[in-house]
Amino acid sequence: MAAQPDERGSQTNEISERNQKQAQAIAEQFVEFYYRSFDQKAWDELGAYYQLGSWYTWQGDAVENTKESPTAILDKLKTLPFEKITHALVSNPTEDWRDAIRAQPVANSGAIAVAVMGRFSVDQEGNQLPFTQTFLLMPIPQGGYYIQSDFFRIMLV
Amino acid sequence: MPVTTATRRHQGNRGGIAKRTRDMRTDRDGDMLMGTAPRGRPQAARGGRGALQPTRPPPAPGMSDSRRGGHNSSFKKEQLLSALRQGSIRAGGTERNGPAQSGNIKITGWTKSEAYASSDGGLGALISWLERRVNISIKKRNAPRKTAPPRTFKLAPNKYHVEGDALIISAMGSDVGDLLHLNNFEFSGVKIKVEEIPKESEQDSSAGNQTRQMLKDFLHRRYDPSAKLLNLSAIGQDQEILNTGMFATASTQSKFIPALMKVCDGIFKSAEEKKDTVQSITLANNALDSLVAVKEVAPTFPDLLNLDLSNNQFPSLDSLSGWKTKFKHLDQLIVSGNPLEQNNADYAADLAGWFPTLRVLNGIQIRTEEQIAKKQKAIIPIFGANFKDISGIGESFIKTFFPAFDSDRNGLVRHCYDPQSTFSLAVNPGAPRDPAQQGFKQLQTWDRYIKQSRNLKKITHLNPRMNRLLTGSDDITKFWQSLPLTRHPNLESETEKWLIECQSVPSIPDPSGNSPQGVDGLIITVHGEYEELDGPAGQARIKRSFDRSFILGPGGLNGIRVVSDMLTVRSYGGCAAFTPTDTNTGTNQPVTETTMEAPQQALPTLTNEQTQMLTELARQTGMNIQYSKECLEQSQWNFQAALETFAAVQPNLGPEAFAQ
Repeated sequence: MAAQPDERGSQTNEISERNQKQAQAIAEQFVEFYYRSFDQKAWDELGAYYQLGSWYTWQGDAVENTKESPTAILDKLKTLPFEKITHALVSNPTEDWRDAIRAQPVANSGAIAVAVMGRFSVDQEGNQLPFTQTFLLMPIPQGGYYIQSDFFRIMLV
Repeated sequence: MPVTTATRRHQGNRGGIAKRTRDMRTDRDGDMLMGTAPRGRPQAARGGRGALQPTRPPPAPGMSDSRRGGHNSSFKKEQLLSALRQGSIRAGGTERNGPAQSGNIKITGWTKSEAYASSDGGLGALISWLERRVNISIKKRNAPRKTAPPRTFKLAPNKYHVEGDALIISAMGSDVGDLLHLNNFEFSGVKIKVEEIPKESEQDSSAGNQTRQMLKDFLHRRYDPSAKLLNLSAIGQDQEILNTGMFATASTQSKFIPALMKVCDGIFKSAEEKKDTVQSITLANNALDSLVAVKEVAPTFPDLLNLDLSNNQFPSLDSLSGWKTKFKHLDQLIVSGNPLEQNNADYAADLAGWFPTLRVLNGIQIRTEEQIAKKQKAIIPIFGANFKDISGIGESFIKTFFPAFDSDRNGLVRHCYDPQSTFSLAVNPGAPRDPAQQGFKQLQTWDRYIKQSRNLKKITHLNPRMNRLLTGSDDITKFWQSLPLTRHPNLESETEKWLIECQSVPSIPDPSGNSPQGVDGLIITVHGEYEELDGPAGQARIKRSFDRSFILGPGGLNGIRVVSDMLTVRSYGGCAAFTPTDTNTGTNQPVTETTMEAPQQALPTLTNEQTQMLTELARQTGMNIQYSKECLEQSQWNFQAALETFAAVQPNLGPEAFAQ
């Protein structure tokens, strides 16, 4: 009786550990792509990562790709109020930048929740603002992921 | 009552943000904005039309002298003048005795060589021959030291060009001598001539200096120290300029402003000095139809406050777009008397957008200083929370979760987590703190978390780090017991301390197995704060800020389970980042009222029986939840009586009573 839950537990942990490793690797790859594209204003490349029903929430301003406006998020990205933006992934300067990215598998759905901490600056403003961004990445049947949810918030003004 | 989101928008207290806005301006713009009246907008302060007067004629010749000697000449003016008199103007790197001597070398004679017959006129052969010869010289010089040559001489394509039958090379340091040494050397059958082109200052102390002197004189005449105005209007009608012939051709006209700006750059020792001396520039009456000839003004005077472009030929806004977002502090702009007024109906709105600090356009105030201050703040606007709930599930979850996390973590795990649930904690000690919080400047220590945190340097190898991700209710229970006791702010009375957003997500695994492709769930992100308590007695030790995101699906004892829970704890950062900016001045359209509707908010306060009644009445009558609830309340929650009430009032009900 007592042994059973333990056994099940360690099995679960093994699976979750493997899932976790994969999720972290995918998240790091994704986040690097995301901010690089963002800083280059490669909106079309970014926009392709959002599907119908995806949400993009920037500072509480939320847009959804709907049947009526399938490129709502792309349009939103293109009209964000800055000419230039630069992201830097920093949680703690003494630590590895990857630690600013945390990935967590969403049970066994294949989805990955990603939490990012970093700093960004816009236009000529010299001061960097800290931000958090939360992504929910959903698997695509033919391989790869799309962004289901994307919440961007400044941590401190 | 609503969880957090809708009410926060209506709270009247903007004290924090207003105060901060002022701080922000000081930080970003320093004294420029703070000291506007005395320094920044001299004419406007006197109630005049502004420093820029579109119809102002250029100063008459001779007037400049009286001004120069005038008793009201300012300190800056004297500085400017003395700089001009002493000729301490650096007009573009032609000094002879710089640290790295450079020289322009002219090579002729090679066009008579046999190599000239080749397709590139022998240029390629000549370049490689020169490189080889110079490298031999370099090698020879190093031979006694028996070391490898320190470098290889190579002629980059931007270092030479051909003018007629001469090859002109710009060289540095010893290369100049090495190249000159090749004079009368034989290249491809002919002797070539290598000579140095004399420096401008040596070669022509008349022409170059004359031009500079002319520009300096022009600046003398055109600078008005009392208005801190540089008057560059109607340059083509300036008699002295006309006499020099500098405005004789389009080509020399186009070089006038760049040359003038170079002279300006040489005068001022710092950007600060430039900013203080020239606050206004007028380019009026110059027949400009593009920025090509004058574009240098922007990089030379980036802090300009007032700019007059009136009475030119700018055909459209596009012709000015090169200055879009330049002049970060522009206060007044005049574009009247240009065809663009007719050709771009919305030019005023567009220009207001280009220059976020612009206050007065064509003499008409378009923004107040207060609006500008807010606008600068609102470059990154903050909107209220966007809470898109499903049937109040997210709201009731949050309302249950945080009080229970403070008081009964074991019970919370038992109810809401299952063997597949995941939880992780990260500590972010690097996150900045709220500078306004005097009371919490104490050292933030993390020992109570750090052994659990995933982002910890000490935990470098994968395994321990992975173990910080906890899977299943048993491990999560154990872990939560090791964390400090907490007290989160009240979700209803301290809404300003929370920022909670919610959206539905598809394809969350269904533990019942009824929907193999998954069911709809919710993702909830929470930003907030809590106090760490010393013990159950409840003495607050320290405040922390946190970010937490949940993914919820069906399951658990109460019908909702936490599929994933990610917590980040960081130094206390206050809640100003969640306080919506005044959306009237935001650069974006504000999000409409949150979609968390009143009836859904009302639901959790009802008993199960009442909720059922409400749902049923809404279904049978088609009324929306709010009207159904009012109807039931009027009927003392007697379902039959409510149906009768509905039948009685139905003819008087407007469309607002019914579900959309």
